[in-house]
Amino acid sequence: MLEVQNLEVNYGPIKAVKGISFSVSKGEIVTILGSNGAGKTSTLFGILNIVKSKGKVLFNGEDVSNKNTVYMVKKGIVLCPENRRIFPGLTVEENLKMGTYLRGNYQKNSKYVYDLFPILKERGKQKAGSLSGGEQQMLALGRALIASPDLLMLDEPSLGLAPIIIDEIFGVLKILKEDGIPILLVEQNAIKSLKISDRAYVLENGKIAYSGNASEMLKDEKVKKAYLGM
Amino acid sequence: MQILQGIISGIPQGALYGLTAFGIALIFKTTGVLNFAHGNSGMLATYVGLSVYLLTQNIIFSIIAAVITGLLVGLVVERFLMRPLKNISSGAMLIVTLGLLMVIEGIVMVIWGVDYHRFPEIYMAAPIILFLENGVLVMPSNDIAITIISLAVMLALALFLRYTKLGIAIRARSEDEIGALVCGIDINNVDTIVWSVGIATIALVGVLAAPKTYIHPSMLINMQLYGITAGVLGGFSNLFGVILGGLILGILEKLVGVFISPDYQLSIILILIILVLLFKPSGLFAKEFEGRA
Amino acid sequence: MKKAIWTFVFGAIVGLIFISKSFLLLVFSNIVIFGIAALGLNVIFGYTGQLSIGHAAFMAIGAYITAYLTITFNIPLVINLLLAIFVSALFGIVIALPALRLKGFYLAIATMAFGIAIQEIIAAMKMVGGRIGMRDIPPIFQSDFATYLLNLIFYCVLVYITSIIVKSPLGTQFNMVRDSELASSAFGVKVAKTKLQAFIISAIYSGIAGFLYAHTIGYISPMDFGLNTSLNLLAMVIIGGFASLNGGLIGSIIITGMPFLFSRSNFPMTIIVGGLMIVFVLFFPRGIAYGLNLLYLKYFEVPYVLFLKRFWKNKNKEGHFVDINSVKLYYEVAGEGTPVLMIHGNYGSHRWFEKVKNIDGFKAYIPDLPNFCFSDWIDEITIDTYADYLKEFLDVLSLEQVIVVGHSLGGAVAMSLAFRYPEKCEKLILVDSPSLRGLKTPEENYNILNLLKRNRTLLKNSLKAMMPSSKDRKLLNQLTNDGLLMNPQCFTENARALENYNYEEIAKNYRGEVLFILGKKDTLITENMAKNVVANTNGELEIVPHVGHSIIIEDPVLFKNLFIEFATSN
Repeated sequence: MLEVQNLEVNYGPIKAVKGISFSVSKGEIVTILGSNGAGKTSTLFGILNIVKSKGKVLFNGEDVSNKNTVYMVKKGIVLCPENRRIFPGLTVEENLKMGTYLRGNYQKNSKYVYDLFPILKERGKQKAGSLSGGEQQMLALGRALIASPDLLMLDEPSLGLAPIIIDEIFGVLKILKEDGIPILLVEQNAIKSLKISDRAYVLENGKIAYSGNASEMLKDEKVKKAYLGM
Repeated sequence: MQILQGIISGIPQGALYGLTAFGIALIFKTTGVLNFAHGNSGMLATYVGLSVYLLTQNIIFSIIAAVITGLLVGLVVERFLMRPLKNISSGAMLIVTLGLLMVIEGIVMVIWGVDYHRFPEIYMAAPIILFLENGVLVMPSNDIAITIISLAVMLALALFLRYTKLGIAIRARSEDEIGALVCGIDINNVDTIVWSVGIATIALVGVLAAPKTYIHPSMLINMQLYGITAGVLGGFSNLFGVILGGLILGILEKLVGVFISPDYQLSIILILIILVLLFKPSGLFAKEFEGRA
Repeated sequence: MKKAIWTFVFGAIVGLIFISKSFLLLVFSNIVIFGIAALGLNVIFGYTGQLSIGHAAFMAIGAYITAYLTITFNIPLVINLLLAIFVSALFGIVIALPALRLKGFYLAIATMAFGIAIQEIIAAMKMVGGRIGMRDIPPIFQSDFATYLLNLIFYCVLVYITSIIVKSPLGTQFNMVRDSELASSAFGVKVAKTKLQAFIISAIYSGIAGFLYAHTIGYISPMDFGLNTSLNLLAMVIIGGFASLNGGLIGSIIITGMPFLFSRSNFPMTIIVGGLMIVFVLFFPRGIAYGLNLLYLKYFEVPYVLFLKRFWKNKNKEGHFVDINSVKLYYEVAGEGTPVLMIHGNYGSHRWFEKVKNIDGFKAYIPDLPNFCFSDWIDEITIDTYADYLKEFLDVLSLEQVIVVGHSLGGAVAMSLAFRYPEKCEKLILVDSPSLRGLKTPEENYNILNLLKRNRTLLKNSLKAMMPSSKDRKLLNQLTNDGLLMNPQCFTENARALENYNYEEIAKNYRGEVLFILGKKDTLITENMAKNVVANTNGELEIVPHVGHSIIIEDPVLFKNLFIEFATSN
């Protein structure tokens, strides 16, 4: 459903993403692995045109290469960005409402989100800034999910969280997969993300260095050593 | 009694400072630009209001014209100056708004000249006089009208920001641009609205203040300084604090005039401003402060 | 000093030309006076980075003090001037206080409030005429020309003083505070004290400007020193030249002078000034002075350089040419014995080894690399290409194995030669050469490198910096001329070539001995770069404390000793 061809992202003279191609199909979880500065976030920003990008992006067969972010969100590509990017001065409810700014019905979808993250319902009237790190990540995820995305893009959802919370987040991702939401996951945490993924790409210096089946990659000692640092 | 009278005469002025500060803070908080051309943008709109008044002799039309002009000025400034310059440093942006201040002043001088113009009060009636045990309190009716209008507009805007979807989106954008983008909030749109509304408020301040200040090219320069200070007093992050900051400043100004000297009223307030910046730069109500060296 | 004298001479000539037009002289005086105030603002804003939009207040202070004291008490001017300076300095301290604690637009607000407050206080003071102001302030000289000259002298002296301050450690501290307060305090700069000093100096200049203004114009009112004047001063700095000595004057010529050009129409200057301010801050943030300076550097010496290059290229030569793939390389030979190949650096030539070429028991082969000096030009500019030509050079001269000495860029070429043709290279001596990972030139410096090909003075100064302890001016001149003969493309492309190599892998191929000689005062090559090379080649490092980038020129005797010791050891 998402097809990316020769995506390039430049910041002035610096080339962050140097012409990569990949795809995500219906019902799949696809992971992009890579170290800091490999170009993972730039790839996601490039797809959404949050930063200017070159190359072709097809979504559900439609060429959306040069459409602005608002259009992309309207079409159903929703990003849960790195560092959560929630609105700390707004209440939890207001944050979720903003998730439905363009698409999704707050009344209808909030139940789904609250079922996944009951804590969010409890804290509904609190300022989002007062939540703990794990709760903020849940809020960020909830804000993305409440838009009922056709493709959910997740940027480092495990960043800076306690292991127990990370497990909870990945547990939720499994549920999302069962519910048929395609996910493009960007992670540094290779093992955890490969375990729940169908396929994976390894990004190095803005280029795809390796791609393949996630479960096979987990077994392949050579790949693990060369690309995943295990 | 003098104190009470001072406070009462200070409130309308303070309400105008509050409204000015509200517009400055709205733009600053949302887009990160402290607009030094704010006062002059409102001054330009006030002149349009003046022209409409001279044509129609209708004060209501004239106010509407000024506010609409304010909306348009905000739109033009955002669309053609601020949006292309989104990524320049804050220092350069400061110079740009100072340049804009001068350009607007020049434009007004070309069209309307440098003469002082009178402008009528919006509500002319006998002042309200309260007789108390040990004296009288006088409240000019126009002052009451100004106070009510300013406070009503601020209340309406606050409610808009608090409860409407667009209002929440504006606050969301002011807190996190990327976060707002991934929610599908059109940043450019929000910025245009914020600039338009912000300049419209100072346009309203212009026509409300005009009967006292007269209309001339530098009529709102001090107003802007007071507005920014009220913003600092209230802490820019807190819009209600900003309004309160305006009221405090207005009252303080009158008390200085009553008890010290009306000649030095402005200077003393300005020195107070510097002192506030020095010792309470985070404002009276806010906690954190980023402008400290 | 030069700048101040030239400004004075030029200003005085302009004044003489229009000596009969007293109105014009008044305009000139005005320009110079605002030039002084703008220079003051430049100290605090341009050099120290603290924005002030209330600077006209200091002018007001200077002007009112002298006017009041002269008219009321008839106090001599010199005392007035000293008082004006003193009080301005005091107020400079006062307004510096917020600056110590505030930055960005908070400081802008505070200075704006200060400016308007001073204006309002003066306007409220009946003894100095309130809003009406003061009239009939006695002039210092009756003649307009003398007045103008006096103003000009004040300006030039202040420019001279500023130039000293800017070059002094204090000036460096100003710039450090401007560029990053955090970093400068990490370097031990007392930020608060530095800002305070800048504000005091700045205030004094503007106070002096006010003093001169009062006596030149003869009439002052609070209106003269309002927000608009402050903004005009700011515009002068931005348009004329941020952080430049004469920038304020250039800005003043435009902004103070312009209204007189348009004096017939009623067109308000604020549109033009404000518009220019926006345009300059966005598109020419370094102002006109910088642009003029750039034009000067780019074109002023061009005819001279062209002539010199032609003359120098055809001078008699002692060396020989050798043909390699139809590219002629020039080389010189000195001495008899074990063959040594000496490779010069960037902007260099064979002559760089002039003082070390004669070493007993060794025969030095000293080529000009392709693209350099008397050798032909080639299109492919990489370190490896240069090395390939030298390999051919050795083959053509049937030199089986040589000791290779490389200086600077020549060191990189020597490494390329040694690592890729190890059989050719018996021993390797690197003199202040870049590391195995190349040498990165900051992107903004490329513009300057580009200027070197057109401007001999600039090239000479750059080369001088590469041999800080050498006093040999004749040699420097010759080396500069040699440098000019380089392929013009190379002025930037050699630097690119130095960025684009990495020998860390192939360094292992080389088994010969390596000596790295580093001058402690070298500003280009750091100890870490040298250590990178020695660590990867099992070499030894010799750090020479008293020389810079070029021991071969700065201390040839020591170099020869080091060379012999290393070359003859086993």
